[in-house]
This record gives sequence, C-alpha cells and structure tokens, in this order.
Amino acid sequence: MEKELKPIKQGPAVHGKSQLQLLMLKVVLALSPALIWAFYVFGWAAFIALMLTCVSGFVFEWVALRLRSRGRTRQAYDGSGLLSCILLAMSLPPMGPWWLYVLGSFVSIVITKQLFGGLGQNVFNPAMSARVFLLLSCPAYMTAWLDPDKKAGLVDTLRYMFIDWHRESYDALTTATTLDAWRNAKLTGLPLPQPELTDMFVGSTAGSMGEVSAMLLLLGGMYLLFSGIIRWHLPAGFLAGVMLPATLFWLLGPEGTHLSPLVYLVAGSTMMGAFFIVTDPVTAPVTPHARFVFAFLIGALSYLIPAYGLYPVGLSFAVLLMNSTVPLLERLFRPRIFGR
Amino acid sequence: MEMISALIVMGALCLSGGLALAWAARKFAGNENALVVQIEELLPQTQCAQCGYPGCKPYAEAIVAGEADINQCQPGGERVVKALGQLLGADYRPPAKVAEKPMVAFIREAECIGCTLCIKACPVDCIIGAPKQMHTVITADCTGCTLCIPPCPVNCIDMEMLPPRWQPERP
Amino acid sequence: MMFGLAKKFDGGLKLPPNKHGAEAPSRILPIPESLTYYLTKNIKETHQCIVNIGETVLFGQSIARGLGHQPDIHAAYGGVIEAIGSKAGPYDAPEEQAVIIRTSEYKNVYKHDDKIKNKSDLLKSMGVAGMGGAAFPTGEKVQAAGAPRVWLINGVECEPMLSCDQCLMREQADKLVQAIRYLAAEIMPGRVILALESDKADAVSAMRLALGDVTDIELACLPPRYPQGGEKQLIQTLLGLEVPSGTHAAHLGILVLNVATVMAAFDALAYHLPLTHRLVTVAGQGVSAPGNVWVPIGAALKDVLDFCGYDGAATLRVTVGGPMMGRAVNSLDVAVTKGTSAILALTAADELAVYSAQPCIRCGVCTEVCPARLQPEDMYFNIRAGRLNRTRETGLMDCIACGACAYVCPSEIPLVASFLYAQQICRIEDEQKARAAYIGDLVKARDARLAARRSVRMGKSASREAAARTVDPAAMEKVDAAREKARSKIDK
Repeated sequence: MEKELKPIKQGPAVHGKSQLQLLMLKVVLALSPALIWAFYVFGWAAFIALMLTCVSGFVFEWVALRLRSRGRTRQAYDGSGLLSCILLAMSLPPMGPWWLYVLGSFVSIVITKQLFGGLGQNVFNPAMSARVFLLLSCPAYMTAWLDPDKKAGLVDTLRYMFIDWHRESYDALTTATTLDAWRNAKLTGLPLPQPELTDMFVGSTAGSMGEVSAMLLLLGGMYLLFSGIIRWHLPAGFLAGVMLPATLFWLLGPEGTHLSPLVYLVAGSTMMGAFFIVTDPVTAPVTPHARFVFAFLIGALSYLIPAYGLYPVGLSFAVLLMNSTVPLLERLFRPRIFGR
Repeated sequence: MEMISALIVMGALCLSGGLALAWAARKFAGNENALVVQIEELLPQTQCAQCGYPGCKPYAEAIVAGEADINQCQPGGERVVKALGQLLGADYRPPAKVAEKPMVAFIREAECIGCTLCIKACPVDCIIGAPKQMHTVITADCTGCTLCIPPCPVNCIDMEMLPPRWQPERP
Repeated sequence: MMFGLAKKFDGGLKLPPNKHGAEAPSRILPIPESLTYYLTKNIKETHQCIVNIGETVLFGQSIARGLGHQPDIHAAYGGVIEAIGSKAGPYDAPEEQAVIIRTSEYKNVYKHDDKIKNKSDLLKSMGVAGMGGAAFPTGEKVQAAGAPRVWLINGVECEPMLSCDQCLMREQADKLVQAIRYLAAEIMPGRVILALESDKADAVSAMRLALGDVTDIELACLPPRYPQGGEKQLIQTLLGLEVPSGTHAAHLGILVLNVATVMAAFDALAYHLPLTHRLVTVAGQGVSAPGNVWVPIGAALKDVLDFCGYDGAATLRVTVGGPMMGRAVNSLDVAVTKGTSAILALTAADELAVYSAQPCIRCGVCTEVCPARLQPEDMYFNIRAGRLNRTRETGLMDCIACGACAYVCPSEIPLVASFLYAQQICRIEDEQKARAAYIGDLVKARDARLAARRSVRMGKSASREAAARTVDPAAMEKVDAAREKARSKIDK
C-alpha cells in the first residue's frame, strides 16, 4: 500500500490491455506478410530500401525529440516512427537512389511529424506527405518501378542504389505499373493492355512494395479489423469511394475508356489505402460518421485524380487534401450528446 | 499618362475603401452598454470598492471607457482577470492586489451602540438593526467588503475568516 | 414476467467480471474498536454533529443531522464519543471532519419515536442514502419522483469485482421481494421492474424463485455490459428513453433505486430501523479471503481488510468502490460510508492503471465506448488548453465518469481524472456566479429602496411647497430667486 505505483485518486484503478506500443507493433505485424512477399518479388532492393528508410527515420526522430527536450527521446521507441517509415518505404519504388529514402524519412518524420508537435499532433499523413514531396521533387525516380523479372543480386543492387544511381542506368531494369501502363497507353493512343487480374491480386507485377500483393494486404487488413485495431468505417468508406465512381464511369463511359472496377479492387494500392493509409488514426477524424465520409472522399478522389488529372497516382494527394478537412468533418458529424 | 491613371484609380480605390471602413465602424460599432452588462456579470458583485470605483457597475463602466485595467478586482482574483481577458481579448496580467482569504464582518454586539452608521455603509443591506438597538450581520449575505468598519464609532466590527474551501488539484 | 430489451445503451464495453468470492456466503465483521462518521465532504459541511465528546450513544442513535436533504447519521454500535476532529477522508480532500466513537456498549438499542409520518422525511431521519456508490439522499429522490410511472430496482452491478448486490439478492431474495411490495404500496408506481445481469445466475434464480408466478414485479435479465448499471444507461436500455441533459430520472417520472437501498428503505419505513450496516465486497489479489462482509458504516478499511486476510506487502493500491468508478485511498484509516460498495486491495496481478499519459493518437476508441456519446479526447485537449467553456459546450457536465474511456485508452491518458477536475472547477465557478448574481440582486434591492425613500421625501417636500405657494406667494417668489442665484453660483 505504501509503495503505490503512481498515486491516483480518480479514474479507473485498473486498465485494459490496450497499449500504444503494442498497437503499433500489431499494425507492423499485419503489414509483414506483404513485406516479406515484396522481399521475395523484388529481392535485395526492397530489403535495403526498407532498412534505409527505417534506420534513417529512427535517427531523425531521435535527434528531433532530443532537440525538443531531453526527456522525450523515449518516445522514439513507441513504434509510431517505425510504422510511418515502413508505410513510406512501401509506397516508394522498391529500387531507387539511397537519398530518396533518407530524404523521404526526413520529410516524413521531421517535417510532417515532429515539427507539428510529434505523435498525435501532425495534421498530415507522414508517409503520404513524404511521398508527395518526392513525387514533386524527383518525378523521374518516383515513376521508375523495378521489374520483378529483372531483380538483381546483392552486389548489383548495392551498386545501383548507392553508386550508379543515374536515371539512365535504371531504365533497363524498370517498367511501369499495370495501372500506369494502361493510363500511358490511353494518353498516347496506343493499344490498351489487358490487366492480368490474378497477377495483380497475388502480386507479381511491378509497383511499390505496398501495392505488390493485394491478397496479403487484404489478409493483414482483415487481421486488423478482427483484432479490433481498426473499425470498418474507414476501409469500407474508402472501398466504396473507389468502387462507386469506378463502376459508374465504367458503365456510363464510352467502351474502352475506363478500366473495369474489378481491376481497382485487385490493385494493391487500393488495399494498401483502405487498410493501412486512410486508417492512420492521427490524421483521420474520430467520430464514425466523419470517418466514413472522410474515407469515401479519399477513395473517390484517388480514383478521379489519375483518371482526369496530371499525375498517375491519386491516393497520396487525396489523403493530404482530406487531412486538411478533418476538423471540419469532425464538426459537421459530431454525435448528439446523450439527453440533448 | 498611364502612371497618372494608375494613381487616380488606386487613389479612388483607397478612398472608397477607407470610406466603407469608416461607415462600417459607425454602423457596426459594439454596443457599449451590452459590454458593460457582460463585464458586470463576470464581476463578483461584492461592491467592495477596492478597485477604486464605488461598485461593480462603475468599475465595469470604467473598463469599457478604457479608464480601468482588467486586474483591479480584488475579490475576483485571478479567475476574474482571466474571464475579463477572454471577454475583452486582453492579455493576462496578475491581479493588482492579491485577494485575502474570504472573510465576513462580525459585530461584537455587547459593544454596539446602535448608531446605524454601518447599516448605511453596507452596500448589500446585510446588517440589520435599528437606532439605539444592537446590530448584527447576516453572515450568509456578507461579502466581506469591510466598508462597514471605518464608519463604526466604537470599533466593534471585526472581520472573521471563513473556513477554507477545498480546491481541486490538477491531475 | 420476462422482459424484452427496448434498446441497448450507447457505447459501453465488456469487462472481465473478476467477481472473486461472489459465491461465498456473506460474513459479519466483528465489532470494531472505533467507528468514524464524516461530517464534511471535501471540507464542506454536510452534517451537523448533535453529540458531545464523552457522551454515551446507543446502537442506532442519531449522532449527526444532515444539512439540507442529507440523511442523518446513526451509530452502528453503542459507545462513547471519543473525538470530533480531522480524519483521513474518502473524498478528494485529504482530511475531513469526523465524529469518532469508541465502541463499548452493545446491549441497548436506541428507540426511535414514530412521530414522522412523511415517508421522505422518515427516510432522511433514518439515514437512507443510495448504496450503489453515489450515496444520493433517497428521501429526496423518492420525493422528486412522486408517484413514478416506472420504478426500476437496480441490481445490475455491472462493475467488475463487485458482488455485494448479487450476494444480497441471493441470500435475501424473499425479504427483497417483500421490501419491493411494501415500498410499491407506499410510492404507487405504474410499473415495477427489477433489473439484473444474466451472468449472475445464482441471483437470477433466487429472484425467480422468490417472485414465483406473480407478475406484479417484472424481472429484466440483461446481457452483461458496462456501464449498464448507470441510472441513465439502465433507463435507456429498459425503456428506450434518454434522461435529458442536466436533469435526473425523476424528470421522466422514473425512480431508480439500488437493491440494497430498497432494503434499507424498507427497514426504515416499516420498522423505523436506521441504516447502520451494509454489505461490502472485499476483493482483489491483496486479500486471501475475498467475499462479501456485513460491515458497520464507520468501520475503518483496515479492520475490514484485515478480517479478509489483507496482504499489505503485495497490495499496491486500495480503492473504495469498484475498480472503474471507485477512488484510490491514501490511508487505511478511511472509514466505510453509506456509498462504499467495495474495498479492493489491488496488486500487480490486477492490471493496474498507471496513467503514463503518452501522446493521444486519436484512435477514437474512447468515443466509441462513451455511453454519453461524448468525445473524450476532444474534451481532454480543451481542458488541457484551459478552454473550460468550450469543454462544457461539448458535454463536460454530461460525463458520468464511468471510466470506460480511460480503461480502453492505449496511451493511458488520465481522462476521467481530468474530467472530474474540470467538472469540479465548473461547479465552483457556477456557485460563484450564482452568488454574484444573488449579491447583485441585493445591491439592486438596496438601490431601489434608497430611490423609493428619496422619491417619498421629494414628494413630501413638493406637497409642502405647493401648500406654501397658495398661502404666501410673495414669500415663495423670494425663495425661487434665492434658488436661482444659488444655482447660477454652482454653475460658475
């Protein structure tokens, strides 16, 4: 009785099993099947890219926290930085120059997260803001996706990533993702390629680590859903947001001008967005209704931006755009207080 | 020529903008009386005059007129300064005088000569009595303003401390 | 009669029941050496002591009169008043004023006269207070409800570890039914519903047996969920109604009484027996013999814990009340009060909350579990930023402090502690505002009085002047001239 842990007077004396670090680790666990598959598909490049992002991200976070105050450095171990870095690495090309990943983790951890006040205070999704930053700064590297058939050995990969990282040397190794290829063909008037749905779903096409296998991402998402870490509102809203315009345009648009909604459903980026990107709790609204609307609009925008916009990818822009509307959505969809 | 026309256009724009602002300032000027009422509602209504004004309403009027600062209310203390700061958009500053512990007046009835001077001084009518009769304080209504002490010719009024109030601690 | 659910209450969560010792038969605490009765709550006087030091009191004798609606306090055993002074208290303030009785006299029983006929006054003078935890004065509650549409008898006991109501229903089912029928004849409710949770099978079957086939009392057997036993949540679950914000159940014509309170009220009304003892759950890994104990109100926690095999070395935290809504105490000298439903000795094995207050990640689970549909994280940030008014608009005063949000928070943020703090600050502010308004009225009344007197005086002098003008106009002209002169002088 004398050696009470930390004196409390009010509030529950006991606590549930939910803990911040555990939560973060469970999300990482949910991502791991897709990650391991990505290592298999892309070889050493994927592994090195992930390591580069995570290690530099941890160092940046530790230094930023240390600069803020001495006692804060323990927050660097809470797993949130690790998760952001993994998500970032999964949304970048699996093979690129080393500085791409270091710069990405710097923008993600220092600029988007720590400068806004650290965990829980950031307005924008750290992984997506870094991705947008890199996409705008060095589009050439951000659209060169490693061809799974041309993955290199350890030595060659190291050479490509650290020494010989000129864009020209990548050309032979990289290709476009399925969705990009279709879009480019449509823009340039070439014959439209037919997407291989099964390959996309299982994951043997080019793309980022995060969009390689829709199946394994879906598996991880189901785990998150059933272990109660995420609720259905965000993923369901996002999927509805993608599928509704995709179906409408496919049905109503002229023949051959729009991809079948099924292609979007089996695309890894859709699954990644639904279960791991829009579900970032910090930058999403808190109330269920607001969450659904938020995710729905992200989904719709991430379909519309590549379909009618300049950029081949829409998800990251859509997420950042909707992040800025979170306070408004929360205010609009505030639940009615009991008895009022 | 171009320069002159630019000057004329810009000048006209600035002038009309200024006129619009001046008109708006008059048209939508804040209602001072409403502000006085709002301020008065925040004041503790002890009517103690310790702010240098004869009561809470005069003090509120003085704040609106820009004569008084927001930190002069002694019984209100920090709470009132904060509330006034929030209402008027002024920065927080510590209260001019730290309020003493809450007190009430107590008349030593044996010594009271029944002069009624304290009754006249009391701003909240909480002293009862009649000429040549002893007086007493209705403790529940007394604000502890001490205005009854100076007029008493026999110094038979004491200020007594009220029991301390429990204040919640910030978790 | 069985009862269908109208609606599930909002939010809430399933908690591990952990009702250790619930099945064990109740025990009786040996007479403790001293008894402590609190006269204040957070140093504010609630009771007026009516005995003196050295006086001998008998069992059941009233020793303090409740101020306002507060029920009186009675000695649970006879003895001598040893002291009246500060003692470690169970509320927020560390110390309270208390009367301490040294027990010595066990034979004689104080006989209460039966002059009081009004049932709410009788409940007050027999010291009946809500025994579910909040100790709300029962007399006031019964009076406010009048003849209620629905009378709910709350045997839900949704908090983990608590089992005193379960034990009471199991052991005294017949008396409870008798008590309900007696009180129903007194307060004339439209419907009587006894609510309990289905996981307390022994209590459910005991009540079914006691009720038999008679259908005057409806039995509602609810699936367990926390905080179903909260008054507002129970009403929502059973009747589908929401108690309007800022009001009580009486506003809807509903009376809700805890089962133990019903028993105490029955004893008070039927036999003029004051409330002096209650059933208390003693549990937690820090006691070797958990279970329910009949404890005299006023007994020290130490006495009760020692009776149940208290292990002081292993215990990290002792709470009065359940693990969710109870309070941790700093001293074992704290005494059992009418609202003490449990004494828990919690060890490291009980999954204690440490409130490390890590950053909020806005996961929204607190919003999901809130039975009042509030947004705890939003309120917490507003309180931290000192925006109390904003917090109030978003429902601070509607928080029932059930603790669900703090329990599920992955960042272990002390949500409930900060809400209770803010509520207390708001209440103090309200009191100050009400007092300022009252004093303002006094000032206005004084101004009006002075103005009236002035106008009466002026009226008198005006009528005198008019009379003078008719009698002697020449003289008045001189007066007018003098006034004019004086005025011009003043103007200069």
